Amino acid sequence: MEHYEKGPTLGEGTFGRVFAATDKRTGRRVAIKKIRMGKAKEGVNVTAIREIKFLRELQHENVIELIDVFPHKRNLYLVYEYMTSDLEAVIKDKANLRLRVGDVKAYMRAILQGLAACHGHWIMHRDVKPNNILLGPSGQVKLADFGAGRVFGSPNDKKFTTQVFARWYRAPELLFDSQLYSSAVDMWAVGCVFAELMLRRPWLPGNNDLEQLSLIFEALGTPTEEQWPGMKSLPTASQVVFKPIASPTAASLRQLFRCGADAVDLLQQLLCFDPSRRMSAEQALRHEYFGNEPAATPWADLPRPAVPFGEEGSSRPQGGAREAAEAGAGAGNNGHLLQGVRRSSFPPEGDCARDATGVKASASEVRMSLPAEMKMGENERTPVLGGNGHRDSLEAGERPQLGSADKNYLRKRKLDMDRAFELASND
Amino acid sequence: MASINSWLTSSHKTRWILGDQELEKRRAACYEKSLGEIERYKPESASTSAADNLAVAVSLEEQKQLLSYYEKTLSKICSLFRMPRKILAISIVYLKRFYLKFTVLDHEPWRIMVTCVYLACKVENAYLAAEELAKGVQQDARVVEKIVLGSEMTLLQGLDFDLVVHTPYASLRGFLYELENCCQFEGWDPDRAETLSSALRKRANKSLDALLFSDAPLTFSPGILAYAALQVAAKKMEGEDKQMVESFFGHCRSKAGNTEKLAEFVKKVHKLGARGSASLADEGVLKEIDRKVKLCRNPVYDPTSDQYKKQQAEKQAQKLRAKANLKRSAAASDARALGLTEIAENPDSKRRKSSPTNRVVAG
Repeated sequence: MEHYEKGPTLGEGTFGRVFAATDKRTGRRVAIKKIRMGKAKEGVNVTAIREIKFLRELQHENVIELIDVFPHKRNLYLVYEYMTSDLEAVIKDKANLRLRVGDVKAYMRAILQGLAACHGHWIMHRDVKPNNILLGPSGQVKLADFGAGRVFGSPNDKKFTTQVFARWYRAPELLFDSQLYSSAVDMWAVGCVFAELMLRRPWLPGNNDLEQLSLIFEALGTPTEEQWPGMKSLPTASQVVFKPIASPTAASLRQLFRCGADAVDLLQQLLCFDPSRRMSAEQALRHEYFGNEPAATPWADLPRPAVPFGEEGSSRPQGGAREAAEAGAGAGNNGHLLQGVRRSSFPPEGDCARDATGVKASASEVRMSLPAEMKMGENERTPVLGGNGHRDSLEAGERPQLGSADKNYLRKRKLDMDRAFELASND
Repeated sequence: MASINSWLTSSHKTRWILGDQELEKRRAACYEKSLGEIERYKPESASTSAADNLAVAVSLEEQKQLLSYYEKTLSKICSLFRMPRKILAISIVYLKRFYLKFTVLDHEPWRIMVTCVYLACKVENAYLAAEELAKGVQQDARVVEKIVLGSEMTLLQGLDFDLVVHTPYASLRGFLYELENCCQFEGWDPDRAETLSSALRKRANKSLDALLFSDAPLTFSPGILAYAALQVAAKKMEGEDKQMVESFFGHCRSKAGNTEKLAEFVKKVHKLGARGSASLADEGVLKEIDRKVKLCRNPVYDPTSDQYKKQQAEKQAQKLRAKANLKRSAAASDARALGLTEIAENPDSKRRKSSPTNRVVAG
């Protein structure tokens, strides 16, 4: 610790605080994650072990660099290169930032290159989402947070947990409780991030696992036996019967995302239901989308959000003027603008973009038969599903986190049990 | 392709494949350092037993014998829990790597050994609670827990936080997979190919196990180890099987860039293998070494020694001094910010928190 000059706090992670610092020996700016030594019983946090294990192996320009690890006063400190923001901030900063086709392309290429490196090392990331994609001081794009990562591809692989990824980015095979999956789960999440970059809002924000599946099927059609041959054999796939919905046409997706045919094709291949046919990161990088005009923006020219790390709380956009000017410049260049920013209010009343596709907007209209012993219990469903009501809860900071599903479930179950106990003891 | 790439940039390949001379050099350097520290921090109230500490210090050769003993113990623990070979291989490599940085005089091998198993399980997603582990080593659960959790950080540091170990078992599987393909290419039916490959696997696994107890995992890549093990296994083959395996080796050699180097490496591996399967020193000898380890420990790392306590006290004092400095400079900068000429007595903590940037500038 004596080598680092401590700076302001950047954020609060899942297992500790992250603060900025300067390396006194080199003058380099770094970010330090402080990990409290978990409960006495388990020793060094497993998540931290995983993060260290993977980042010591991965050296890639699109993967965050772990510079140093050291213990100090019963804490473990992980020293990373300094990053200023994340993709979630870019997506949310609709007032100041416009994303052109080239910008989205640059973000996508960086994410795919980072993931290709991970998958080349037989590592699944398992928590791909916009706020795990960090942006550097000069616009670099890097994958971070390998705490949920896992090695895959060994013939001895046993069961993997399905409680990975934030729900909105969870692939359908995970939602159906498949316990042997591959790097394809990361690719699904990349597809969701791609859609989110174009829409400037989460595309499939389900409130629980069942609703998530409904949203996916509404948006992409209910998979047929032909589209996804193995689906029926997945653990929970036979417990719910989904209303057959036709796959959307490329034209309707183009209308929804206001993008070219190449982008829609890439999106469809990333969001392919059958994991074995889903595009890999390597394949995606060879997709014509990346060869077509407009070219990907060089990372130094990528838009930066007005609010850097550690100042989210006091979000008076100080850099607003500059960013607005940049946005203005973008607007003048109307040729290939991504018209993701349609309105300034969020969430919008009557989501015209969705309705335009002819996709049913209401999750409750999907007919489902729910057997009594179904794992995703009815109490997990939010009572209001009609219309776009569920989107009202999507204010900033309410994004589901990894494993939030089972935690919520457990909390609810505990409450139910408490109530039952109360009733019983009052007798 | 991708997997080869991941080997070339792996921490295992770039930082932990060392020449045999380098290994000896590192061990000797650590040993010198430990002896130096023992000499320097000799307790002043030199009682009779401590006076000629150095005379009873374990030698490098004895360290080797002791560590081989603990490696064997490791394999017993792992087989008791029916752990996959991979975990045994990883924990043994952890133990070996750790004692390239420290000596048995610094850290008691028994503690490190148990911690190696614990950490290897954690890293390989096969979490084993310290309590469970205690059953395997026939010790009190609380003692083991204390040891394991107490040494975990030390072990992590000794390993430089490089946790991924590529084991030769995976490479062997790759070779056998290719061999089966070769067989089928030659028109063998799959069952016959499988019989051959499983016979080879069994023998090759045994020689890989023996290699684990030598320096081989620190000197050669897992691919070479697996190749050498496969050669040993193939020696007992006869007839058509033998021909098939020979032609397969030819195929492997044609893919290797430098066949002479490969042959030389394999020869060295065989030598190491012979050493790995050598039996342990007598139990009596080992007990004597173990006793010596307990008698003469490097006080820098021994929590019961005066030197250790002194170091802790020094660290504490340093921390306090640093804190005081920080306070003083924070106060000074606050004063400057407020335009005061005299430094306020004790700046309250709230104010310091609200101006973190000042502190950075001043510090």
